[in-house]
Amino acid sequence: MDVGMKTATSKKQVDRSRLIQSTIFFLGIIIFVLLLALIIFPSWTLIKTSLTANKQFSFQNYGELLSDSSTYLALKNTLFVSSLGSIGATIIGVLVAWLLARTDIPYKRFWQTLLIVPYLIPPFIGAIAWVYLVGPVGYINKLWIAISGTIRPLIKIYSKWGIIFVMAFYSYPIAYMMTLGPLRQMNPSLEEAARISGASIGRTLRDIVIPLMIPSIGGAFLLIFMSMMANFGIPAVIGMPARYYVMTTKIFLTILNYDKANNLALAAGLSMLLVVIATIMMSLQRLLQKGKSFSIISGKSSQPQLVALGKWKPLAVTFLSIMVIGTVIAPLTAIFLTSITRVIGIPLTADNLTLNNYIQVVVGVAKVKRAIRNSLLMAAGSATVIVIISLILSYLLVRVRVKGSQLIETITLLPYAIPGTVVALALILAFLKPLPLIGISIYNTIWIIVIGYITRFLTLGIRSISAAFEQVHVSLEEAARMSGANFITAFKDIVIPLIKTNVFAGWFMAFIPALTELTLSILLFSVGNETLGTVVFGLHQEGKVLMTAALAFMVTLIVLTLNFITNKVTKNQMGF
Amino acid sequence: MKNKLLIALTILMVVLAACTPKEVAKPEEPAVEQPAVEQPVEEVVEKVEEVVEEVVEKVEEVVEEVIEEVEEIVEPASGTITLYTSEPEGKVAEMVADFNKLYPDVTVDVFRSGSGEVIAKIQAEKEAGEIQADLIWFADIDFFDKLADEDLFLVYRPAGSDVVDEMFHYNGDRYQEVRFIFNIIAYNTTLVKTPPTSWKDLLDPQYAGMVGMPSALYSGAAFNHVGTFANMPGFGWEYYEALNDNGVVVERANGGVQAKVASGEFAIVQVVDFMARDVKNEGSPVEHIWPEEGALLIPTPIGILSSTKNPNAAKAFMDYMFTDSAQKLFVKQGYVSVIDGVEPPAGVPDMADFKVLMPDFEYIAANRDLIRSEFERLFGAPVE
Repeated sequence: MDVGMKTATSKKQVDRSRLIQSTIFFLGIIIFVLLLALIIFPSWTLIKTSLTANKQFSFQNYGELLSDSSTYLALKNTLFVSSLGSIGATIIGVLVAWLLARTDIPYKRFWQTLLIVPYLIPPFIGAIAWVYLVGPVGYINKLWIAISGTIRPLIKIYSKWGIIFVMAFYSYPIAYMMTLGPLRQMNPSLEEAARISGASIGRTLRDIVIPLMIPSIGGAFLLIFMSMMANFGIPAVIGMPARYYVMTTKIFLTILNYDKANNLALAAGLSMLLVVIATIMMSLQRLLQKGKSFSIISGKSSQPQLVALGKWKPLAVTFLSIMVIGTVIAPLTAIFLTSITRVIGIPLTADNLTLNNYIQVVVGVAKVKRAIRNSLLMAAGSATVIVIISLILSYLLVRVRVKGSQLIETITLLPYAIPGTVVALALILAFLKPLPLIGISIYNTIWIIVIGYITRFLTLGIRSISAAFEQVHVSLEEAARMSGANFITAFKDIVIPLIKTNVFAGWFMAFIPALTELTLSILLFSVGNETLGTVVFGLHQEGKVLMTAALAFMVTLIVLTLNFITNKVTKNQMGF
Repeated sequence: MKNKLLIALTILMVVLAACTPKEVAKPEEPAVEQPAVEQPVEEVVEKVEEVVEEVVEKVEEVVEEVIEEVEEIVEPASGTITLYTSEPEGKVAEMVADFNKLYPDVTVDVFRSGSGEVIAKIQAEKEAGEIQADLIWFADIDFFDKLADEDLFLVYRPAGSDVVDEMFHYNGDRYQEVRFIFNIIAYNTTLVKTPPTSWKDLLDPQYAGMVGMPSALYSGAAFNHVGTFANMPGFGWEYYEALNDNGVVVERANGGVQAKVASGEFAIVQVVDFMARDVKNEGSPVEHIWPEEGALLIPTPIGILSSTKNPNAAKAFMDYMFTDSAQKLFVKQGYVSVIDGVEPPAGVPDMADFKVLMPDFEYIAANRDLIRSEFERLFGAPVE
């Protein structure tokens, strides 16, 4: 009697577990179909539009683009600023990483914390900060004019060199983060041998460290190159006033050029050109990563001997100080000072200070209020949806190991890997017309932005959560199940506690970039559906200098705080 | 509700009473002329019935119209109206607050953005079916004319607007000028010691590389400016070629020009007059002059869209624009009043005392594309 009861219960439990598992499977299929609709359909529409003229299949758009010299100019400009910018960023990043990983430079934690900050500041806000700093009437140029007595500014930020400079300053943390780990794992005996044989530090770097690190450095370079090529905010803030256009800003302006009947088709053609370059870069990076496993780097748990900087130490400290001042302190101070200025055009004296800009920006301007609300809701909503989708997909990818998981991963990576401007245009083209069945167009609503955020940042959630599932070995779950726990109990008591941190991190990894997103939003927003990014950018373009500064400083503080929280909660595993 | 019914019934009775004798008389006339044998009684009755039906229908129409009109008089405006505009946000908010003192039951939703973005929103909504705004107000009269060609405006002459010159009741009272703005020259006093006095002065080599102006591709006011000067004797496209040679820098819109003359990034600018006074009043080192050849009046019409769901409140808003209260507020905000005899803002001469240029509407309407492409060729070419 007793035994019979037990069997019945466990049978019930098995049924329930099966039910749950098939539900997850079923949900997975729904999500997969949804992803196909939200990612593949827009991509297809983009390609189709670029190949359509007068409602027929045609290469006319490409013909028009390729016979226009401004297309080549934009391509050339993109390649020029991206390559020089990534060279600069890679050199700075690797040098910083080597100093922190392999030398006896003091205050490592201090540098580590500060030197990562530029990566957290949204690039367009960084660009605006640099305009305040070295723009035609920026603080540095004003100082120069005051000292030298001329009326011509010292530095011209609105130029290709301005773009390269700002891009390098905001991208070097990528190179730094990507090479720090490999540098730490590098076998120190080689460096030691070189030093003992009398090689200088410079020589050691050039002949030993850099050759060994080529795969990591190359990977970092290509990643930075791709992010610069796809960047919209920096060339928009710094390049557009000087009419220096790169592909992303050219696509943006082409989309806004309503006077041209085939403006969207031309923008689609330009996007395809950009995608081709991005694909080449991605393939190169894949190749590099395959050849990455140099045996010399493979982990040896010996405590690495640190290189003594000796007489170079003051120089190294100066370099790091300049980086911290140049990339963090100076730009943030420029934004802050501008944000507390009462009247522009007159010197910043005590009675020209005010906090009024902050009050005005939050209370006075309706679109800022709307933007704060919209961005918070959209970022939180998209992050939540991303976490739910990621939980289901990661479970299927890692645990069930469903067929075609490679395909699913590639599809979810796509909207993140290709430039945001292209993603936005694909969404516009796909959702301009009313949706079938319900007959409503989501173009000009917040929903097209939400879809943009979800598809673009989904891969961040999946990456974080599938990593967690990988870590929780299935044997833990099985052990629980064998000890009599059913599927739910095992999941609740074993899996959830172990992946909780990653789920949380995954949410923030999607929430933070969505909160300050500009590249997609600037093309998808409409009056009434503004976001923080579009409002900061819009205020800047309208010349509302003081309000721009106040809002930009607030946004920066929020982002840094959120990151600090993520850092604390995940105990430094996630966040920076 | 009871009131409405009573009014309606009374009107109906009056109208019916007035009509009845005529109805009966009309059909009887032909009937009398013709012999009864050829015209059976049934036919006559049928005809009479037809005529009566027609008349009743017409009467019903008239009654409905009368009821609508009476409702407007009896019922105060209420509900919500939406305004799309490119006017400065703060100024519009002040105006709505003032309007609400007169019409507390009307909620005005304002969507404010640059002319280009507002136009984009209107076009997208038009394609999706219907423009969501009740009223639109911005500085691109040519776009208004295009919408008017599609008959998208309500014809309405606001109460109190008769005193305004007939030429500002645009397109047969489809949209109205409610206050004046002008393109003038402003300069930064810390950078410019000998200010220019005319539009021609901007070509002076001593101002080389110091002049800024808004882009005709983005700003309605700048578009009107280029469209007028490009066809003006003594100026023409050569004037713009020469401006380009003198190193004129093109900024997107008037807001940016305003900020940059205040900050000193531009020394001399072409800008809308009230914006120059605004930054001056805030304390920035900016002055403005009324150019010898004339200040260009920039039409900034406001009109009611015929698709409005609340014409009553929209009309009330238009009426408000011509009240004393509104015109005084405009002046306080730095605009020149549209009504003769209203004191201009401090620092503005009387309109009779400076030369006013009107936009060259004909040339602009006929050359919209040319103006944009020439401007783009001169000032928009991408650089390496």
